[in-house]
Amino acid sequence: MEMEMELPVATVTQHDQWKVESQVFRIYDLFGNLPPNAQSVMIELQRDNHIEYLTRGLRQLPPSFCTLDASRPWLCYWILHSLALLGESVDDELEHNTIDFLSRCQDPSGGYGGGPGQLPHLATTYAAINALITVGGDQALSSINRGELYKFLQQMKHPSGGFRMHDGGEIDVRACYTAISVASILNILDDELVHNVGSFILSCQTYEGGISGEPGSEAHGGYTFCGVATMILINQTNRLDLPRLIDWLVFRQGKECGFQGRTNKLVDGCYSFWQGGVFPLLQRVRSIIDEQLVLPDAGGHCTSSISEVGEGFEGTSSHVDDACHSRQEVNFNDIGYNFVKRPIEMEPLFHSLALQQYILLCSQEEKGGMKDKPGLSRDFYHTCYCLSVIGISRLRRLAVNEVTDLAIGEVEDQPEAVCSSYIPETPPTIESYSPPLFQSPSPLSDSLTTDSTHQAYHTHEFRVTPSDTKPASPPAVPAQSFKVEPKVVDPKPQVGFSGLAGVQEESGGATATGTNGGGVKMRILRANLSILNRSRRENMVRRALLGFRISGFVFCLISFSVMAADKNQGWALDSYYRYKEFRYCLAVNVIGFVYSGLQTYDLTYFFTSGKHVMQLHLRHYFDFLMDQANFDIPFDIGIFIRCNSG
Amino acid sequence: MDSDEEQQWVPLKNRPEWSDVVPVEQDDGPNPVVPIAYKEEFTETMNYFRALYRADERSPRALQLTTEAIKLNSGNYTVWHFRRLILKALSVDLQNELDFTEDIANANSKNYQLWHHRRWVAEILGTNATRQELEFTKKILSHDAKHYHAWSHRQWVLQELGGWEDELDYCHELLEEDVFNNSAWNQRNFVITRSPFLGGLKAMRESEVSYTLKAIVAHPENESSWRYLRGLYKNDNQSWMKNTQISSVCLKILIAKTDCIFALSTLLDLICHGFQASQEFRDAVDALRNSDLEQAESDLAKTICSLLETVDPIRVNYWKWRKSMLCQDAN
Repeated sequence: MEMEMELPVATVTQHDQWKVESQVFRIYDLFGNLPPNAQSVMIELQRDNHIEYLTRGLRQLPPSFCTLDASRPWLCYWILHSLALLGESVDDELEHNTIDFLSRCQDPSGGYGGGPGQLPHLATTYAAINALITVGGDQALSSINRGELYKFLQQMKHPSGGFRMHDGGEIDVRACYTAISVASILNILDDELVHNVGSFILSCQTYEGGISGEPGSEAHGGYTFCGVATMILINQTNRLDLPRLIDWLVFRQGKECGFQGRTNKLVDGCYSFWQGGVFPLLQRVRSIIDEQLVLPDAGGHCTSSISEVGEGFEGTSSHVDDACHSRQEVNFNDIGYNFVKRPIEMEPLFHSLALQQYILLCSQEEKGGMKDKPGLSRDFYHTCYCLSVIGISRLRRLAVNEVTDLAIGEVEDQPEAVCSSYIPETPPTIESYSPPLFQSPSPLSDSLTTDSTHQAYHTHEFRVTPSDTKPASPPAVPAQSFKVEPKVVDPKPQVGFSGLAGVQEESGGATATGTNGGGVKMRILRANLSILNRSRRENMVRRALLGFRISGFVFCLISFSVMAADKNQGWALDSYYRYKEFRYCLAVNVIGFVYSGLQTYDLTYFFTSGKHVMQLHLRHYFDFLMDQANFDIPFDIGIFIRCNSG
Repeated sequence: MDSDEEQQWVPLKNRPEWSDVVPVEQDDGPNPVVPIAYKEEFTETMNYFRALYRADERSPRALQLTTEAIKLNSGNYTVWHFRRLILKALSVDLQNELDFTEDIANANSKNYQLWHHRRWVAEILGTNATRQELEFTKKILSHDAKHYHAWSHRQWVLQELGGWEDELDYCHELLEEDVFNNSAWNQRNFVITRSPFLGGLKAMRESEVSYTLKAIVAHPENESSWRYLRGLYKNDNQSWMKNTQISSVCLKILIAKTDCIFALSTLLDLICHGFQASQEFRDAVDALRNSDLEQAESDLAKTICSLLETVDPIRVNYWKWRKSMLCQDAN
């Protein structure tokens, strides 16, 4: 392989791949050679910085965001969902502003547009609804006009079974997912909307095993999540060829440890959700997978009856038309809700620790926010989908390493936590999908307009408190474990992980040859293992710093007064003003005085609000420089006095 | 650069032809979230756009305004939508639309709206547009051979407008350039299964199998070609399992001992579908085993799973699961 690399025959795919691999492995190498305490810092989830980055985005965005002017509900969703995943919520005023703003995006005849006055669009409808459900509460939920929304969904329905994204818009798997998931969560899903959707999705499962955007296109992570989630919500999962789908899916996780979107494409943090998020779904349909595996040649064509959700609902054969579904008495609105309550029936089939490593070391921006891969910049889309996955990953890890405590895995591994949106290519420029497939179907208040019988409410589901409706507030779940866990983690959080040994060897760009499993040991640390300890220590340091700053301030003031009061005296009984040194000294003193004053103010502000007055990445250099300069003052004074007395 | 552009741009309120229009501000409310600090040009263009959109004015100047608005944000589907309404009303030469979308694509081609618009235009132009559309996608693909929208558009053109004749050659060309280009393999599958000239999958299967096996032998680490091979037998696992060419290529790669993950995984699938592996296969798999690390398994399929757990550590959970499913089968 080394030989081959030197030859000028590398194709574009190989060249790009090797470039990314070398970048990623350089980071892992660096990490592997650090002492454990430095490692623990490097692999920490920068929770505070993420929160700050997100909250700032909610309040103001720069002109470069003009290209996302038709995706503003998406921005709301990405930010609010990310914050929820971090266990953080916005204050009442911001919540109120969010509800008000999204109401202005709602079209009077149903659905939400990308901004006030824009045409309603399925993707932004999806984002707006999920953002509102994340906010929760009567005001948020009652702002949704379900009656009109249902009509909008009806209008978007296409005879092929698919949906259009908007009036006259494109038809694809995204549209199916956003329409079905929104209808499901709002309890307005019925036979008419479901009609032939399953056949459309099925026609998009490609020879590779994954799902494409339209029939004939290439299997793609974003569409695969949308497709699988849709099939689950309409109770037709058994129609997909699951063994082939799983085989394609597991191969999307590469030696960089993250997921790629398509075969032989580059790793991207956001696919950890789109690809990785399918696993928790599959873990709940084990019986269907088992059945297809036992009869391999019937894959995707199961003819026996399968009860997916325990509804006694007959599974269908792909030879039978969808019509057979509509004849069944099925309440589609129960499906999603029951699905999330199902127990996890199997272990995850991807490497969750490795994924977590990629996200924390390669996707995370130290100053807050997440990104596609090293070398690119952060954005809200990637922040949302990378954060979503840390949720599942760490939970999965719990389940793997503490297998005995199945309950933990079960409670915490709610797939909702994984939900997010999806933008197949270069996210920031197009609309994407973010999916809380898994939010509970109907945490709506009675005040909503209901115009037909299919809006059956589940009274027991109205509660939106995190404790009893995990599905409704996915975000809070993993976030909690972030906060609690460090207390129970022992001081040696590293996990020897020789599984990646091969990775190290292959970093030259060659592919696995490896029957020999030796090589450098890669360590994977648990996320945020020491957030709490560290922040406590930092607080102490800051307090001491504040003390020193105050004394600096006071000393400057004293020396300033001494010098100022000295005006009429001095050596030879004439004024110090005659000496340049005095003026210089006084000037330095004034600078020191002002500087200490500002630093004291900044620290006090930091203690009260958690933020610095000025947010500059050059801050530390500035502080260092000024402190050095200030350090000179006593010498100057010393010199001055010596001059005077000499 | 920026200041130059700003100087060139004449605010709409200063243009006499717009004097009759009262611009409509965006209704963001008193305290909007995710507020964008729009540039002046953006705000004003959109204010005038809203005015015309609300008045449903389908005029040449409205068309011109949508051009400006799209250039400022090509993701605004409302503007594109209104543009189509205007185009229909004015019955203008749609050839200009093709040029316009190409301009937009040159700035940023990864955008749903642009491609949807292009499809709408091509649909109206019909077969007159075939050649041009194939050329256009080819041009985009020459810069980015895996461009998802471009491939979707091309497939739509082939299906709706035709032009299948050279498509298999085109796929071959791209694969010659980059055999790891999975989009080209996908297109190849699209062509052999859907082209009206090739007789369908079954007619093409034999020649495609030998084409693919050659690619596999040259690059056994290339997942794309392995998946393509398997796709040639979609819904016909029995023929796949019985094709001795396939199993012997697996054997050849196993014996060579390099890049054998896909060969092992294919062999595992073959066995699961009833393939009876000869002693040669067992020996080849045994030779790959590090006897210290893996326990000898009596069952070849289990041995393969164990081996894959070691040589393909990122998928260790998957291979363990596959092994456990083998046990279930036995029961």
